[in-house]
Formats: sequence, structure tokens, C-alpha cells
Amino acid sequence: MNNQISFSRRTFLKFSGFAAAGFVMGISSDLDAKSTATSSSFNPNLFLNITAAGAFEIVCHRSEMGQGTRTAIISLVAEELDVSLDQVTIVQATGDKKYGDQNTDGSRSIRYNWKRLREFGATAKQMFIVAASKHFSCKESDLNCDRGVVYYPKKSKKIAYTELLDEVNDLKAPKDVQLKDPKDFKIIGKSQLLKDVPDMVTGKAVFGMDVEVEGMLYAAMSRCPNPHGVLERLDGTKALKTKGIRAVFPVEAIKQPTNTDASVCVVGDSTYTCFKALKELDIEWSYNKHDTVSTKSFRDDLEKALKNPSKVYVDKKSKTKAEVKSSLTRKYFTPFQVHAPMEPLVAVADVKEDSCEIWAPTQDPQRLRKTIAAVLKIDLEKVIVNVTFLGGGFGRKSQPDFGVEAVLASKKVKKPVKLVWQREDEIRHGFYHTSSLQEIKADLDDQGLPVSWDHISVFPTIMSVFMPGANTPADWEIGMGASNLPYNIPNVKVSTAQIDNPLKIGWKRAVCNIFHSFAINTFMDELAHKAKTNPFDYRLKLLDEKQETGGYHNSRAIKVINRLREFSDYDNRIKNKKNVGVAYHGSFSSYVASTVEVEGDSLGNLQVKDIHIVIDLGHYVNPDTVKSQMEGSAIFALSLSLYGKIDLEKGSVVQSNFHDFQLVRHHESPRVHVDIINNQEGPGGAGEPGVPAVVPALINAIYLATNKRYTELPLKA
Amino acid sequence: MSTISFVLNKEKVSVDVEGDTPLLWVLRDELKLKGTKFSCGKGLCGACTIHVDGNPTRSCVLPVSSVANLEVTTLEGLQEDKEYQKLKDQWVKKNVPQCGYCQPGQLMSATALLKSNPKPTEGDVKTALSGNICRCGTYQRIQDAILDASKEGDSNE
Repeated sequence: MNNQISFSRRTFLKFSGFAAAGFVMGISSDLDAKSTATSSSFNPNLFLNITAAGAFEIVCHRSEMGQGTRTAIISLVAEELDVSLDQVTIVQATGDKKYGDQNTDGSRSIRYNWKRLREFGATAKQMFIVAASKHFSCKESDLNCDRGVVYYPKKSKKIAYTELLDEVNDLKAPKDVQLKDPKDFKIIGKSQLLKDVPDMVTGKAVFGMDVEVEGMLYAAMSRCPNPHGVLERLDGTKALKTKGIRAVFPVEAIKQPTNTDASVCVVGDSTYTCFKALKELDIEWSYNKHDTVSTKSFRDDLEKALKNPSKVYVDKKSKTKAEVKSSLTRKYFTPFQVHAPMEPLVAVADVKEDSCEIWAPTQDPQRLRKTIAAVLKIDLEKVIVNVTFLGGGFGRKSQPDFGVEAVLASKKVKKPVKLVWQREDEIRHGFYHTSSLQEIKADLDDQGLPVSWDHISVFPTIMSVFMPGANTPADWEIGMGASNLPYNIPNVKVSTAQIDNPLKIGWKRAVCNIFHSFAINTFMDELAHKAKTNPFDYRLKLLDEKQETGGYHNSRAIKVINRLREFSDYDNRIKNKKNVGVAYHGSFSSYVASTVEVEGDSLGNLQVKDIHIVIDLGHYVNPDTVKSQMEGSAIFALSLSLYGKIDLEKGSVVQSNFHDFQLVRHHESPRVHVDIINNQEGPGGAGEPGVPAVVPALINAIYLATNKRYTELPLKA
Repeated sequence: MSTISFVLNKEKVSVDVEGDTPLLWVLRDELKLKGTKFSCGKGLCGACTIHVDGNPTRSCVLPVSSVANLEVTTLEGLQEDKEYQKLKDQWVKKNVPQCGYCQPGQLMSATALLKSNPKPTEGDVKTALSGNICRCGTYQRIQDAILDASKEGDSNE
């Protein structure tokens, strides 16, 4: 099982010099002016390598964690290059700024690379056309390309790209290449088989957990249960006596830039030997005065904060005063959540005198590289970050902490080390999805439509991880659903309050959109019922087609909502007394509406039946991937709505594994039906925007089934 | 430390490990078979599912001493298996995996199901796989893949 290391060495060699036998090119980039390229017209960042043997190697610089990005990224290049996906070999990039942004989060892989990567493929194809026109002594316009071959139809001649390698190497890359008209796409917009699936179903795919490096040792850690704790006393004698254990040593917490907790590391000959030795450690942690936080005390803090709004993000006031007939005020709570990717955190690090190589399932190889260089105090260029498959990420694996821990262990024992987190570590030492308390108050006119909307959203900010002491949400956090309210209401106020973070806060799939969509959509549903108006019609009354808020155009939202009504056969199902809830939420430049149907008359016998999702994400690469992301998002939303929560006691996390942090299983999974709107808008995200609408659609369905309005998550607390 | 022998993927193997070592870690760290995955370590999620004498079993909580002289099959050992091949083809055709990490365990449970129940109902499938968590949420495609595989031609009864 040395795939990973040989793979990495090969990759590294390839990128450290231009191969003579093939054609290696990059395109000028807006991202990396300080490239080492010698030719002024070339500024390499992404690479295509066509070998004389006819292999089309395309680099994927984004991390694969289940969102289908590897197949999608290479599709962008292959489409314009006119090669088919079966001709392409994917080469996973190491962490390096020359590729441009590699941070695989925020559902941005296609959004950021849609034009850039296509230009890369088109530039190369144009060079083959120029070379072929010289070869055939014909006009460029006489030629066309398909599957890596240039055709000259008039003379029934053809020549493969691979036969033109010497010629293209003598050409300068053209500027301003013409990209294809989307109607001519052969790959983009059409469902494709994912290139990595065959390896995933045979067990050959190499995840971080599967990396083997010659001579490596294994490590595991006992981490301080409290993020503020320090080691008071350690007796590792018994652990050291465990057969196969080589070393036991304490590791201090590093607050910045890694946010690793204080721990004790054991290094040994196998993973299980280390797990066993951890149980023999005699450790005393000291939490100082940080052991008073509990779920209840934190809830009290949220309640207090909600009464003292300190920062206003939106304050829209109408000049005309409408008559208020009634009003509604509701409070919504959501708990902390943890990511729980199926592959726990893991990394293999090999630290040498003044260099380091690491293999990690990381979403952000550039951040990991920078962090390792800072921690080891070595040159960035001396750090190689190899990206493996990620056994799930959901935002957790964008953090560098687990990689740095492996580096510290390897540095200590002067050998390559594989550091494995147990599930309990992952649940208890996360960067948690934040916990929120919100209040929405609306004054209503004689038709039951809001004339004013006052939304207070309080939650510990992600910024607290980067700037200790930060206690007010950033604009972009409030901008995830709250300050970009699409509804046309004369008076709108959106504000927040200060609150400290009792835990490390991080990004988790869909981030603040989840709780903002939950509050806004369940509130809207209650308003619709109060006004005795169908929830589709109620929303449409408030959506001014010409309005745009925070980059979201209501015209697109309206189309998605109308399409959902038809696609889900909503009116017939309601007529037949089905409990179908509705919600709409725009996020990550995509527009999503969802219905959820439930059966049962209480939470005890609740069954989630069909879920319908309509998404407008503009251009998309692989529609089957968009569908699978919506299906997965629906399950993700159900897990967090029904079960997901992280509790605190004495400043430490209570939950530990899948028995108390439950996830939806096969027997609870509904049918998910997905429809994608077709248009020519710029691409939006696919990985995250499916989650937010499903949560309130479920809550709204449960109201129809049980006549109860649930305002706190999870439902089965 | 003791020598424990069992049949692994139709070949006899002997390992020198502590008898309480879970079979999962013997497979992964000693025998370097990485198709069996570690996830919860408590028999809660099914990522480490293997077959012991044909029965789907969680290898993360199974002491290696308890499989002495028994037949153990991992994903690597199923490659020529007819039920597995039908399932695998459906998995590929339907783009079932997302991250892929739980899929070996899902396939081990699915193969065991088709061997004991060649024509399962949707309910049978959901029950048989309820111990296999997929955080990416590929349940619907897994269920469809199993049902379609079970409907293919002669199912080798």
C-alpha cells in the first residue's frame, strides 16, 4: 500500500520541472504574479501535462470530500480542450499558492474556476489548432477538435494532439481565446460518471486514514477535555510499559494559529497499541476558572444578550406609516453542532531537520502548509502538503490542528508518524457549528402582511477562533440569510448582540444560513397561517420581482418557488390532507426551495416521507452531482433537525460518539426528488445551499401534522 | 502476544498480536488491508463491516482471538464474488458514493444481504443496512442500487 507516497513523489517531480517528453503548460494568472516562470508570457498556476504516450493529465487543485469536485474541475479543462473524461488522468495538487485559491469551502470550487479553467483548456486547444493548420497548410477555421484529435474534414485528414507536441512547444500561448458557446458543450451540463467511484467501491481509494509511509510509527492523543485547560500532572510510566509503545510526552496547547488543545501524545508500533496505552495514562488537567460553563449557563448568556442588541446591520425605515392590526413575536434556539465526518481526523507527517512532508485529508492545503511552516519555523517552500481523499469534511477539515499535531509528534520522535483521532476526540475537540438564539417580531397590516420586521440574531462568532475575544458576529455571518432578507417589508431591522464563545467555533456546511433560514422560514409559515394564506402565495406576495438583496435576484427566487409548487404537486397533496411544509432560502449564490412531507401525529411516531428540492444554481457542471448534493443535504438537514446537538458541562463537551450524537440512518431516510432550473446565469454553489431550506420545511410540515410550532432544535432532544 | 490463525479471503493467515486487538486493526495495521475503515471504534456506524463465516460483523469491536480458525472476508476478498460484482456495477452506474469512506462497509452489508435474501424488499434493505451510517447521505442511491442489483438476471440462487 505505498500508492500514496509513490503518487506524491511522482507529482512532486512532475511539478518541479517541465517534462521534456510531453507538453506542459500553464496560463497567465491573475492570482500569482510572483511566479518562478522564466518566460514572461507564461505564469503557471494550473497544469496540463500531455505525455507523448497520449495521457492527458489534468491537475485538480481542490479537495475531494464527496462533492464530486475532482470530476467537475477536470471537466472544465477537458470541455474546452476537447478531450473526453475517459482520456483524462486526475493529478491531485499539493498545497501551493501557484494554483490560486485551494481552500475547498464555501461551495466555491466551480464558482471560482468556471472561466479560469475553461480558458486554460481553450488556450491549449487553440495551440493545437494553430499547429495543425501549419501541418496541413490550411486555415484554422477549416479545423475542428474532438477527443484529443484535430480534424480537417475537407481533406478527410486528422492528427492527434499527441503527434503535435513538438510543434506546440514552439508556440506562444495565445491571449484572449474564444470559449465555447454553452450550447456546444459536450461534457459540462451533462451527467457524467464520477472518475473516482471505481476506486471507492473496491477499497483502493487512499484516504488520509490509509496512508502508509515507510518506517512510520503511530500516534494517538489524550486531549484536555476543556479547551482552556493545561496539564497539571502526568505519569506516563504505565503507558510506556504497554507493549509496543515508544514514547509518551505532553504537547502544549497552541492557541494561534492552530487552536490545538493541550494533550498527551503516545507513539507506538500500531494504532491500537496507542489507543490501549492512552487508557494507562495518569493525567491531571487544570481548567482554572473555566469549568463553570454548561448548556444551561450558556443559554442564560444567550437570553441576556438577546435583551441587549449592540450592533445594527440593517435599519430600513419607511416614510409612510402603516396601520398595525396585530403583531407576532417568536424566539428560536439552535444548539452547537459537530461535523462528524465518517473518517475521523488523521494525518501522516514526516519532519526532517529543516523540512516537512505531510499527507492529510485537508480541505485547505495552503493554510496547513503555512501553519506548519510557522510552527516549525521553517521556509514555506520546505513544506510539502499532499492531499488525500477526505472521508467527509463538512468544514472540519479546513482546520490545520490535526495536521500540526502529527507534525509535532513526528518532530519529537524523529520519524514519520501517523496520528489518528478517535471518534470521541472528533466529537469533543471540534470547531463547532455555533449555537444561536434569535427573536423575530413583526407588526402586521389588515391583510396579515408584515409592515415591520425586527430580527435579532445572537451567536458566538467564527471570528473568535482567529481573534480571541471577538464577541460580535461579522457582517458576512449576518449576511448568511438575515441581513439579506429577500422579502419586501417597509421597515426592517436586523441586529445582534455580544456573546463570548464557550467553545471553538468553525464553519460547518451551510454555516449561519441554517439557523437564519430556520427562524425566518418557520416565522413566515406562521404568518401565512395567521393570514389564512397558502405559504407559497404568502411568500410570493412579499417578493418584489425587481428587487435584489445582497446579490440575490427575486426574479430567480420566484421562479424556483413556483417551480417547486408544480414539481412537488403541492396543491394536490395538500388537498389530500398530506402534511407538506414549504421553505425557500438563497445561499452561496444559489436559490433553493424545498417541501418536506411527514406522517404521524407526534414527534414520537414521526416519519419523514418525500422531500422535493428545486435549485437554481445557474450554470452547473455535472447535474447528477448537483442532485446527489441535494439528496445528501436533505439527510444532513434531517440529522441536525432531529438529533444534532452538542452539550456542555463544566466547560467540556458531553457527547462522545454516534450513540449520543445521532445521525439519520437508512431506515429513516426519505425519498428526495430534485429538479434543477436551466439558465445561463453564472454558476452558484452546490455543496451547501441544499441544507438551509429543508430544516424549516420539515418544521412547517410537523406543524401541519401535530398542530405544534417547534422553535428549538433538535426536535428529539 | 500469541499467534492467531484464521482464513482471510480464502487464504490461511497467522498473526502475532495481543489477542484483544480488534480485528479491524490487525487487518489495517498488520496485514495492510485498507478497504476496512475505522470510524467510531464502538460498533455503532458499520464502516468496519467484514464477514465472519459469511455474517456481516463489526471488526472494530471484534477481538482477533475470537476469529481463530474462522473464515474472514474483507472487501478485497469479494472482488470475484457474483453478488458483490452486481452491486459494485450498480454503485458505479448510479454514482452512489460521495466521499466514499463508508461505502466499503455499506457494500459488505449489502453483499451479505443479497447472499441471504436474493430478492429483498425496500424494507428488508433498510433494515439490513440500518447499522451503516453515511454522513454524506447516500442512502437513497444505496437502496436503489441494492434493489436494482437484486433484480438483475439470474441471481445465482
